[in-house]
Amino acid sequence: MNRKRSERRFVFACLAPAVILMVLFIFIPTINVFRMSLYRMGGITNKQTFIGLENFKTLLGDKNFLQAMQNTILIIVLVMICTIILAVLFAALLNRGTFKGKNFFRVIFYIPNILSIVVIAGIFGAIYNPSTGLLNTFLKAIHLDGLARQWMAEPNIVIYSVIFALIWQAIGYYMVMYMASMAAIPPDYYEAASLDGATEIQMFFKITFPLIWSNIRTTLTFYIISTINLSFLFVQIMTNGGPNGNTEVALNYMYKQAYTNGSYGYGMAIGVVIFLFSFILAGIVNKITDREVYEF
Amino acid sequence: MKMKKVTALLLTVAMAATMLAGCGSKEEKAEGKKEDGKTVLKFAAFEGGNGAEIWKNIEKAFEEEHKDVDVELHLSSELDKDLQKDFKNGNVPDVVYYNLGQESGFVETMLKEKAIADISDVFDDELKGKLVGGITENAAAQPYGDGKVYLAPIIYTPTGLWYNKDLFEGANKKYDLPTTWDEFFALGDKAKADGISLFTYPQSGYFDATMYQMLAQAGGIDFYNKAVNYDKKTWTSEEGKKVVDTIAKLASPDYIQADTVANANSDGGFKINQQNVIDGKALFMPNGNWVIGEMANSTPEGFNWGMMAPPKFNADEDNYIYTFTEQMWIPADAENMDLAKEFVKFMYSDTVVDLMLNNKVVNKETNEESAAPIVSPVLGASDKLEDGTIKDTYTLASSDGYEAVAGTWATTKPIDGFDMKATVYGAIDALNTGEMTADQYQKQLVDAWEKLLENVE
Repeated sequence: MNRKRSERRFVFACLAPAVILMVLFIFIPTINVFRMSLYRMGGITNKQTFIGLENFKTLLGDKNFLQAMQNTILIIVLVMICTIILAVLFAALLNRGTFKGKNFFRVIFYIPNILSIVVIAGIFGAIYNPSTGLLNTFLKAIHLDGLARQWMAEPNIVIYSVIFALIWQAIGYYMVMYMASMAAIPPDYYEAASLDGATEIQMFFKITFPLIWSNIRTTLTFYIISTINLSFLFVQIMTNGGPNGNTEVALNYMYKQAYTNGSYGYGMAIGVVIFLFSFILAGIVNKITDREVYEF
Repeated sequence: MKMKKVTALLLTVAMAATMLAGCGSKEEKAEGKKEDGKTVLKFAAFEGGNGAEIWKNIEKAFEEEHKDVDVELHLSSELDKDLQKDFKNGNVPDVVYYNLGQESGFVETMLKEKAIADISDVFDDELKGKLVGGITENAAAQPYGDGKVYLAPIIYTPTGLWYNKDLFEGANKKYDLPTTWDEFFALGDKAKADGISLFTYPQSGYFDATMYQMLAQAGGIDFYNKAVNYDKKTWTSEEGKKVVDTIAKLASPDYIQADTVANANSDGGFKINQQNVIDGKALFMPNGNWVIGEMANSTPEGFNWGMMAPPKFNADEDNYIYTFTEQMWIPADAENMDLAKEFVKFMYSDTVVDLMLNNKVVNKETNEESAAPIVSPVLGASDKLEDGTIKDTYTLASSDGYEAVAGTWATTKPIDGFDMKATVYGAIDALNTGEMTADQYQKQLVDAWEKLLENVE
C-alpha cells in the first residue's frame, strides 16, 4: 500500500514539469487567445474594452480575410496533394529502386528541410527574379522565351510560385518518414509477388501503399498544421502578401492586423478561427481516411 | 533505492523552480532615481540608417549640460518589438525616437491608443521661430488635427523623384528634365524608344510621399489638408481624379520598368529596383536622400544622383515638395515628463544640430566610415551642409517657386480588417499588373475615405 502510494507520488513528480510547461505555455495562452478575441485592444498598452462577438461579426464581412482564407485553403490542398505524390514516389524509388547513389539522393532530398526559411526565400528570390533569375534565364536558353513570366508579380501565378517553394521544402521530410515505414515491410512479400509475376507498379499499389497507409494518415494531419504555419513564414519573407493581397494567407493577415493595424483583439479573433479551422479540418481528414489497418 | 527517488524528486523540483524563476521579472528600480541622486531619463531610440553613434553623442551632450541627469539609452533596430514588451511590463521609456510610417505601424498604434503625450508647450513661440516654417503645423506633428503637437519633428528630408544627373546635365546630357506631367510622359515615350523605362519604384509604399505631393500639387495646400483629413469629395473631385488618373497612367506597363512589381514583392527586391535607376534601366524613382547611402556599395564611381520635385499639372503652377519628417515623442505614461520635454527641446539646440550635421556612419561590410549628415528642421541648418547632392535637395525645397508640404494621413480609431497601406499604395502594384483599373482604384479610395472619415475622432 505504502509502496504504491510512493510510486504514484514519484510518477506524479516526474510528470509535473511537463504538465506545468504545457499548462503555462500552451493551455493558458490558448485560453487567453479565446478571451482576447472578445475585446477591442491595441496590443501595446493594457487598455481593453469588452465587445462580445463583435470581432467575429466584422470578420464575416471582411473581404481581405476571406481572400486570405481562400489562399490558405488552396495552399493546404495543393501542397498536400503534390507533396504526398512526390514524397511517396521518391520514397518508393529510393526504397525499391536498384541504382547507384541512393544515399546521395536521400541526403539531397532532405537538405531543403534543414535550410532556414530565410535561405529558402533567398534561393527562390534568385530563381524567380525576372531578368537574372534561374528560371527565366533557363527558359530563354532553351528558346522557350514565351514561357518566361514575372513569377513574383503576375496575379494568377504568384501564389503558385509560393506553393512550389513550400512543396520543394516539404518533400524531403515526408519522404524520409515514408521510407522508414516502407523499410519495415518484410521483403518476402515482394519476393512472393514477383514470383507470381507482379510488376513493380502492381507491387506498389497492392503491397507498399496499403501497408504504409496508417503512416500516410498520420502525415495528413501534419500537412494541415505545418502548411498553415509554414505558409505564414514563407509568405512573410517571400512576398508579405503582395502584390495586392494575392499571396496573403490567414496567419500573415492575423499578424498584420494584430501588430501593424492596432487591432490586436481582431487579430486574436482571426487566430481563434484558424485554430478551430485546423482542428476541424484535421478531424474531418482523420475521419474520412479511417479504414482497416493492415498488419504484417 | 529510496535515495534514487529522492534525488529524482529533488531534480524535478529544481527543474520546475528554475523554469518558473525564468518567468519572473527583474527587480524594479526605485522610481527614476539612482543611488547617487541622479535622475534617470530613459531614452529609447531606433537604430536605423542614421547609425548608432549620433544617439550616444546626444546622450553625452545632454548629460554634460544636465549634471544631475543620467540618460539611459536603449538603442535597437527592432525597437517596436522591444517597446511592446516594455510597455506591457510597465517599463515605460521617458522619451522615444521612432517615426511614423514604419512597417510595424508602432507609432500609429500608439496614437490610436492615445498613449502619446501632448507636448505643445515645448513648442513655444521662441522655438517655433527657430524652426522651418509649417514643420509642426501638419498631421505628422499634430496627428489628431486638434492644434496640439504630439510628435516632435526632429529630422526632415525633402523627397522627390531621383535620377541619374549625368543623363540630364553636363557633357553626356541625353534628355531635358521635365517640369509638367505632360512633358514627363512625353519623355517616357522618347526613352522607351531608347530602350529605357520612364519610372520604377522600390516598393509601392514609396508612393506615400509622391501621393501627398500630388494632392498638394493638384489642389493646393487647402485641398491637401482636406484630403489627409478624409474629406468626402477628395477622390471624386476634379483634383482627386487627376491624381488617380496620373498614378494609373504612371503605373501602367507602358512607363514602369517591367520587373518593378516582381522585385517590389520579393525579399530585398526593392534594392534591385533602385539599382535599375543606377544601371540606366529606368529614369526616375520616388525616394529620399537616404538612398545614396543605401546604394553606396553598388553605385559605380562617378555616378551622380539628382533629385527633382514631382512634375506639375500645369506649367504656371508653383512646385510642391514633400518633406518627410522623423519624430521624437513622449509616452503619456512617462515618469519624468518635464525632463523628457527638456530633452525634446534640447534636440533643437545648436549643440545637437551640429552633432547631427557632423554625423558619420560605419559601413558594416567594409568598416569604412562615411559622412551621413542628419538635418534638423532648424532654420539655417541645411545651409551648413557640404556642397553636393544632399545640400541641393534642401536648397531646392527652399528655393523660389517651391513650396514645402509635410504631414501624413490623419489618425483614426483602429479599423478592424482595414489596411491603409495596402488599400492606398498596394493597389498600385495591381494597376501595373492589370488586376485593377483606374476607376476601380478610385472607387476603392472613395470607399476607404468614407470608412476613415467615420472613424476620425
